[in-house]
Amino acid sequence: MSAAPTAKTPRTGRRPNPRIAQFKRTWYFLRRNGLAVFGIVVLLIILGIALYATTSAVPWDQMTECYATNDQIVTFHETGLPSGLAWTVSVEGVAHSSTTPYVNFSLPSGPAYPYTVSPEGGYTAVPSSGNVNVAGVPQTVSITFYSNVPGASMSTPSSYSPTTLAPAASSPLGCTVCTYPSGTPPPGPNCYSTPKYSPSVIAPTLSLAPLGSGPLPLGALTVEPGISYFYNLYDGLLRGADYSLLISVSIVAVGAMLGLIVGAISGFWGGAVDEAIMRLVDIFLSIPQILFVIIVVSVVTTDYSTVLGLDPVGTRVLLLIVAFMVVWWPFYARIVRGQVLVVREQKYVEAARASGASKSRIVFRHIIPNSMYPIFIQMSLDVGTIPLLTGFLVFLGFRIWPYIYFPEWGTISALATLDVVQGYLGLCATGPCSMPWWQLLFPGVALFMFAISVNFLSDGLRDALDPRLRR
Amino acid sequence: MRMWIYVVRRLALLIPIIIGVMTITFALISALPINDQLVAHFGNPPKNQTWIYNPVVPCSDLVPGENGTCSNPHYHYFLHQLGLDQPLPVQWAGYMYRSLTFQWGTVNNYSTAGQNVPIAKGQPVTSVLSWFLPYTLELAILSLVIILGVAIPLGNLSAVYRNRPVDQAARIMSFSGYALPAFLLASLVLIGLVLGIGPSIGYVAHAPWCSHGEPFYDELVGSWPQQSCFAGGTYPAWLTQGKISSPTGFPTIDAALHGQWWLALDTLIRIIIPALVIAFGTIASLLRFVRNSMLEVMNLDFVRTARAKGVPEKSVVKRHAGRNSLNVTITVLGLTFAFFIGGFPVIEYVFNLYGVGYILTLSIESANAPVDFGLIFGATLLFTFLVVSANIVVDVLYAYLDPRVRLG
Repeated sequence: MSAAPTAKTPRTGRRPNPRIAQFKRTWYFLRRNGLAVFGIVVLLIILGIALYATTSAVPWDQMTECYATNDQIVTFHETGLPSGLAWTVSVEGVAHSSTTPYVNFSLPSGPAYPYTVSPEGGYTAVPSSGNVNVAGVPQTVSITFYSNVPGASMSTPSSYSPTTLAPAASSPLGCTVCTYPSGTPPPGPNCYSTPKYSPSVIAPTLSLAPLGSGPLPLGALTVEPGISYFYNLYDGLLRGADYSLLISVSIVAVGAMLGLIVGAISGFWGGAVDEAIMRLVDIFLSIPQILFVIIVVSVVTTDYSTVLGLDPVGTRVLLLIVAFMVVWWPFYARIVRGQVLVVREQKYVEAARASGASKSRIVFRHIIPNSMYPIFIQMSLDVGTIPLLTGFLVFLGFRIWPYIYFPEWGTISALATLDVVQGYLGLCATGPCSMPWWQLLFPGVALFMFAISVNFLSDGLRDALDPRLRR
Repeated sequence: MRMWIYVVRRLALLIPIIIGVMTITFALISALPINDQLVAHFGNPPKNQTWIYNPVVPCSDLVPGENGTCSNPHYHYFLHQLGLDQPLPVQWAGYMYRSLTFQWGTVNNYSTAGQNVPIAKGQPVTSVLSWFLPYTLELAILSLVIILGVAIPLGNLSAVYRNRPVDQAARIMSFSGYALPAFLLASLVLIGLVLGIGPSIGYVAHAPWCSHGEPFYDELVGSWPQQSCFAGGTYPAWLTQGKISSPTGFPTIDAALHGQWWLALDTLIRIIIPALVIAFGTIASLLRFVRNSMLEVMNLDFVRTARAKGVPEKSVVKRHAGRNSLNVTITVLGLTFAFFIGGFPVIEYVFNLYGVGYILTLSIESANAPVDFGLIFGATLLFTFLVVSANIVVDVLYAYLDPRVRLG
């Protein structure tokens, strides 16, 4: 604390750090490349979104259900019963009873519902059963009760007059959106599942209103045909930036690390080691990589979450990452080997060997740092490819965990596309329907921008790092 | 003569690769929990006897009224049936023997594939795959033709007109091919076909040759739903088993052999569009390499010499530079072939084409059904074989184009 920092005299004639010089040179060429700058800007935006989503804990897995807007009020009114006597209308196995002349309840639009009317004793209902056809408008059914005593009150209907009939509200139910974490039961009696194809509820709006107060900013994603949950596309895409980056960067980083080490060993040692490793690489490159990943993730269905101490989603993501890594390292190993074969003949490696450096020092200090640049280009390309491949897997039936909407851009895009192809397309081919374009557009744009900006960046890097192309 | 030696040497390298691939699949199966393997082979246990796959059960399950826990004889019987009670090397040898003699098991009755494709239920995996393979081959050959027919001329053009509009357009096409996922592109094309331009180009639910007017088609399709005439469905080759002679198994060729030109044309139309979608992604990766290698070759000495001699520019591009940049194109095509083949399941699934990729998707699509082990591993072996043989063809072509390779 007391010792004052001693002023260092700057050494004159000090050579700049070659790595920093290389970095500066790369940046000099990169920033003159418009597409590469565009790619960097987009990637920075994505990174910002990812950081925002992580720090603010966007509740990505919330499901939205909407109280169906096409439920209609059905009104039964009776004449002939003395006031105060209860009567009951049963529809769909549910009994609605009343002591007033009116029985009100709501039914979803659609089929003709059979009903039965059962009074308290002594009266006969006409008609006592029938069908009520709920087709988009409120319905009113009139019932007349006759006393079972012959001749009694035939001509004296009770206090019914058409003017006292309460007009059925046009749509009093509206759209009550209920939001709750997936995997839990719906929170209240007002949350009904709703017919799947109701674009008035799931179409996007311009307002960034919070979830729960109406339509969603980027629209809703309806997944798994037959299940009428909506997922929030806006929150999913925000949170997806985070997970997409995490998955692709971790796969590429670990795969490249493995490939770097194996390739460097193979190229440097040569001989039988090289031969054995390269045959292994040949085998891995002969299996269609994506099929191998499909097999691993579809065959391994056992839940290892208790073994690994992670939550089920984390375990499944880990499985995905491991499966990708197993098929990814051979590419890097082959690239690195080719580069090492060139680098190890250079004068500075010879100099290091002459000055008595150990083999591991030569490999890790001289050869690996100098064979990095082709790997950087390949890595930056692959980071953009992996979300596309994850989407490919999801499209073919892989789920991070069954029925959980995992917010990863490839997953969201694949689920949305599947939904359109399996559900809406058939509907639209046979009759009028509205195609949920937002489901295809927004996740697709997110995926496309990510992949293409990474591509621009890697192309710029290739131009900046490879002197031969810089003519 | 040297060429033949080279080919034989390449073919000999096939053996370790095939053995290695099968060892990897074997390792994958062996790593699974035994319960999963039993379910995959024998189906889910009966509802009232869920204990039969457990190694140790309460004795009261076996003998009513007994106390304590007993070793489960059913479990050991199933283990013995699958050979899982043998030591691992013996299991490996058995697996290799069965794989190499094409005993790949049968299609699981309860898997999604068995349910959706009733005719494949319980059939040997090899024969089911052989019904589906011709379709995949037709698709692959057609898309390869498109890829080579577009990528090479376009790559050459963008190298010759470097940084001009042609080059920029090719670059945009290349980048979007990288960045657009195949499933999204395929679905967009399908939506466009079904709802948009499809009807106007005859790509409709009820094309004239799809309706009931055509006796041959009705006989062929039989009970297959009429929807198969809609958006990519065409008659699956295996439906003709025993009904119509299919000498080659290739749908287009068979229809043509029967003199059904409309049907052959229809099949071709339904294959061309998926082939274009597949080609788009592969062209993207190939185009950059063709362009770069062409640029490199155009700066070499012999091209300058040819120009100095007064050879016309057209001839320089075509015969001197173009021919020499072909080597790189073919090598890259060989390297990307695995990815090319790996894209087939999605395309066949979206366009409803009955190829190996389609049956593979069905066999892994398992909400409640067990995963079909035989089909999955059979299809993977088949795809691997396709990739390896494509690589050999590429190597031989490369040696043919560049005689220096054969010496090395």
